[in-house]
Amino acid sequence: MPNIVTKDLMKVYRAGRSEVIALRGLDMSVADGELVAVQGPSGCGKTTLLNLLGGIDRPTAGRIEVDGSNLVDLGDGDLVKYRLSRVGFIFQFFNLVPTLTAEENIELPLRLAGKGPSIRAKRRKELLELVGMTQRASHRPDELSGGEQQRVAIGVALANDPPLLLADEPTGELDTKTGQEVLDLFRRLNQEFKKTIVVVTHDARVSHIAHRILEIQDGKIMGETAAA
Amino acid sequence: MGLLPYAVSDVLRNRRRTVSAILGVLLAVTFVAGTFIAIDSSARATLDATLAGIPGDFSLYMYSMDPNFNFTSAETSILDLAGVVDAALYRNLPVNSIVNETGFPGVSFGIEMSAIDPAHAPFFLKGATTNPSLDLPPESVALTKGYADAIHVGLGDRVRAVNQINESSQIQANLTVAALVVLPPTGFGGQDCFYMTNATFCVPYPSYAIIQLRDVNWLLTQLNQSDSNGYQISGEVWIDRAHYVNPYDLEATQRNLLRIERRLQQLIGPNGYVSNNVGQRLDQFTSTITGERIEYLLLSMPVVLLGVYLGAVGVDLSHAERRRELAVLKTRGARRRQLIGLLILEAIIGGVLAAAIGLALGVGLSRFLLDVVAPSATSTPYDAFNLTANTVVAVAVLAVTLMGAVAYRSAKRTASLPIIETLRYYAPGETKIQYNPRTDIVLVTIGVLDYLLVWWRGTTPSDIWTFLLGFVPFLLLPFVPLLLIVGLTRLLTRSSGKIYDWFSHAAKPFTKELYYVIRRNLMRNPRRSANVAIIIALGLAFGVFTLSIIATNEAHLEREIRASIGADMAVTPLGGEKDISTNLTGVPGVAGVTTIRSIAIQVSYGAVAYALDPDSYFAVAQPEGWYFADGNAAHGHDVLAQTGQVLVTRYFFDQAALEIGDRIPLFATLTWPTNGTYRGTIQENVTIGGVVSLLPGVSTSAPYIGFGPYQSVIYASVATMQRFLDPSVQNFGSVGRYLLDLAPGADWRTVKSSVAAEDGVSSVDVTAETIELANASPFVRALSGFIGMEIAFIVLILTAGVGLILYAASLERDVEFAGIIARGSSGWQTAELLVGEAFVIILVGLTIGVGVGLGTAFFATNWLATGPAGVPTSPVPYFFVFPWTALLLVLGAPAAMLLAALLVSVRTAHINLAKVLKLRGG
Repeated sequence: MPNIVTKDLMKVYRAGRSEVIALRGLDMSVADGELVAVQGPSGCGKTTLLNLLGGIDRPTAGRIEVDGSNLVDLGDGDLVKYRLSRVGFIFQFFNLVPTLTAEENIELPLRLAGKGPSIRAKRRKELLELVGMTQRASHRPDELSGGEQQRVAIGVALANDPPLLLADEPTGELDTKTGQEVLDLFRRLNQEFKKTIVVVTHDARVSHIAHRILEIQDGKIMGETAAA
Repeated sequence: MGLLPYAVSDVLRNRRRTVSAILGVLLAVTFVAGTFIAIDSSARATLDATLAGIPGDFSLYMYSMDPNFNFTSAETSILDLAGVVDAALYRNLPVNSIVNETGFPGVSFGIEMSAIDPAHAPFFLKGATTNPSLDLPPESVALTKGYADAIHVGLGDRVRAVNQINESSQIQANLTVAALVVLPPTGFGGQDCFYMTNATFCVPYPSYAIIQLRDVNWLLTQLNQSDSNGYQISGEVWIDRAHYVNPYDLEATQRNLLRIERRLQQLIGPNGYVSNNVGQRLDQFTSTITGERIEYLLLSMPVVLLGVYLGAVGVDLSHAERRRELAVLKTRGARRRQLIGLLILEAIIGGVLAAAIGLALGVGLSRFLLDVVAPSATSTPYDAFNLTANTVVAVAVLAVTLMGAVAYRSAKRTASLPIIETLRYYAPGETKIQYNPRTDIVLVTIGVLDYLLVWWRGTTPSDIWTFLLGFVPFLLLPFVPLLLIVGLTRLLTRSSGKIYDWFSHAAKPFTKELYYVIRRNLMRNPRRSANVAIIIALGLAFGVFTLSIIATNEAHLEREIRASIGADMAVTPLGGEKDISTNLTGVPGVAGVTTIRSIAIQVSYGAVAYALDPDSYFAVAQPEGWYFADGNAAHGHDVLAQTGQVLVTRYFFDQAALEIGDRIPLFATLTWPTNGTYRGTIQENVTIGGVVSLLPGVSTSAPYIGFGPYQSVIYASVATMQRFLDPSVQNFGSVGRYLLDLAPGADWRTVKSSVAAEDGVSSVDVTAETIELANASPFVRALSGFIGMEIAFIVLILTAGVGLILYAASLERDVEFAGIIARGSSGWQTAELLVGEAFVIILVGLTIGVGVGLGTAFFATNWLATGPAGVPTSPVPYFFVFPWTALLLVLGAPAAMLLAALLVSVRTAHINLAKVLKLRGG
């Protein structure tokens, strides 16, 4: 189970002559099996933090330790493996492959991991059931509602059974009811499947499922609340 | 026009999108611009070629009664005129022939005798080499060498100039041969032959005898002639063309020429006439330039067509990129017509840009085309660069028109999309190709029907309907390959998306886990795949077709030359009585000789007959099987070897309604050898043993095929025709030709010189030399050079097109690729998706393009020999050739395209995930 620690984490974006400091020495930790929510105003660095934890981007300075390994020290190939099997990313805008069906999208990480056909078939079925998309498995993203797309995206993130899930505004594009369904799914994944989950969100309902809520402001953790 | 600033700013600010939109038309326009600029820049060379061969820029004709006319003074007056650089005045003399001192050869061969000023030689001596010089001593003559050789005289020998007064009376004047003149080859002229009982004498024509002007009075006195009745003076004037003849300002040139003509006329007076030879050719020059432009524009059609297709795809992509932006404009109140107008306006601005850039790039391209577009030029073009207003206007109109045409449909379609459709995150995949095959079915049907009609009406037309059904399809023949290529490639690449599914299996070995993503992408977005595949297929089809047709034609020409000459070398003897085969066999490098004798016989349908030695003929000429109706050369040899059997031409066989095995009588008239009077008739019955189209090297028109296939000819062995070879037969068989086989490795140039030097040889024709000359002809070189450049441009368009489309596709799919990489794929693994898709589409285009190109070329060659109403024009069949250059194209073009795909995929492999995923998805 992952144990996440960041120390003096910094990320600076350079655009032409201007500089944007997204993270200014952020320290945080997430214990095994925790569901942590990250909140803050727009531009505070929430998504940047998630990108760094997910191995999608590299920090300008600082450390990110996941189970004792510093992600900063990993080469590109190792980061690929990390993204393939150690972390599952759920995006605000779903980012599914538009020409693949729901089940084919879920199967994609399994193929990338080199899993055989029978394993893929079994896992696909499990995940479709888990996210409640069995009846819509053969539909493409343009034929699915936002909530259905997000559920498929969760299935994709879970394909290789990663211990860590990172979600960036997972309910941002969804209506209230559908958003609640997604949050319920997250709770189930955390409680039943013991997934460590970090959720970046403005959604106040996440306080009902999170163990802790971290407040970020100006690239630093400014406060922490124990959720209900 | 209120949207003009918006359109201009969009074109200028979005450089990448503008480049992708105009790239196809830009490439097409660059090629056309380069061609036209090359034509413009080589105008002076083209003018020189148009003026080649004229007898002076101006010709003068004067009539003078003055026996002491001062030629020198007259020449000086002409030379003093502004613009004149040389003038030659001369006069002809009443001499009909020249014979040597002994009276040899006893017959009169025509010759032109002129009196000249050696410092200003007339046009017919330009380029001649004289030994020693035209500065002749008194009472001496210079002769053209061919004539001197024919009458057996050399330097220092005495000759007699003959003035034939009437049939029985002539006067002669004695002269010494002081110089021999070798005229430059002109491609004109020939031989004048006199056939006597025991000899044949030939002299080349035209032949000249030259004396100096100062000897005129002396010679006329010798010939008992005088100038009391007047005489004609001829002359040529050469002007400073560099200053007075400007191919870029023909009006000014005409004025210059008229001024000089007027001054010349004033000089020579009312008894003279000035001919403006340059002025007369200027119309021809203008027509040549116009003709070149039209001809090369038509030849450029494949490049223009491909450029248009690429342009259509590029414009489509750029409009697709802006769908959301245009939808937002609609939500703000823009009408559909306004949006269409905006997109067309942007296309027109893009067209203007394409014209400007195309002209600039065309200047560079024109440097490579200079030697190609002026096939009749006789010198290297010496104008560095010339850009005429005509070219600028033509290129601008072409660019703007093409851009408007390619943008129109896409603009209408884009502006008509529902707003909500274009604001969604996932636009529905273009799962249908939206293709109506009607036009292409019509094109293919016309093409196939035309070939069928030409094949069906293979006989001479017998009525108005067979004429129309034969002649009209014949007129369409040159266009049929274009119809078939365009129609078939569009049908095969666009009629169904399944073809991409089938071919996607080829990507499996190297894309492995992601192969199914490629397959899905291709199947569910067939329109984009079809757009790329058709460009590739069209380009390769045109390229393969053109190269195959040219190679097939070249091979056919070589085969025709071989059929005409008959063997490696053919010798025409000087008189056919003496057999020189033994001498020819002894020439080093000659491996075998065979003799062709023509036989004077009478037979139905005006047939002519030849006697051959079967063994030596077949060993030397080595006729291929297709000459023989049964395809069997060995059988043909056996027929001839059998005494009494003959081979006949198909024409004679059909005309006389013969069958194999028929016996026909051959007749000849016998004469008494002492006085040539009638003695009797001999008859020989022969059996028809076989049918041929013709036998190589054996015809009345040899060394040309000429009417060979339409001749009634009987071929027999010497043994069969023995009775007709007796000297007592009237006009008994004489040796028409000798065919020579060269030893392996022998240098034909050396052998030719040795053979030509043999006694009794009139002319020598060499197959290798004739082929070399044919391939070196300016027209052939120009066409191959232009086609080569065109093929290179086609490859450039294909590579740029694939690169452009993949690049645009990769931009469109950045988020999709980033999502895949974020979920555990490596950058290069994801980039393989792009390369894999490109590979499959290239494979589809390659297969269809090469298949269609080869198929149309193959069928076209079967109909190439067809004239009106399907009548064959050449007895030599066309054998289809797939040249190495076409193979290079088939392998090289896809390799270049894959390289472009690889380069584009580098970008995908290094996507900045965080940056891309932060962008709005969908």
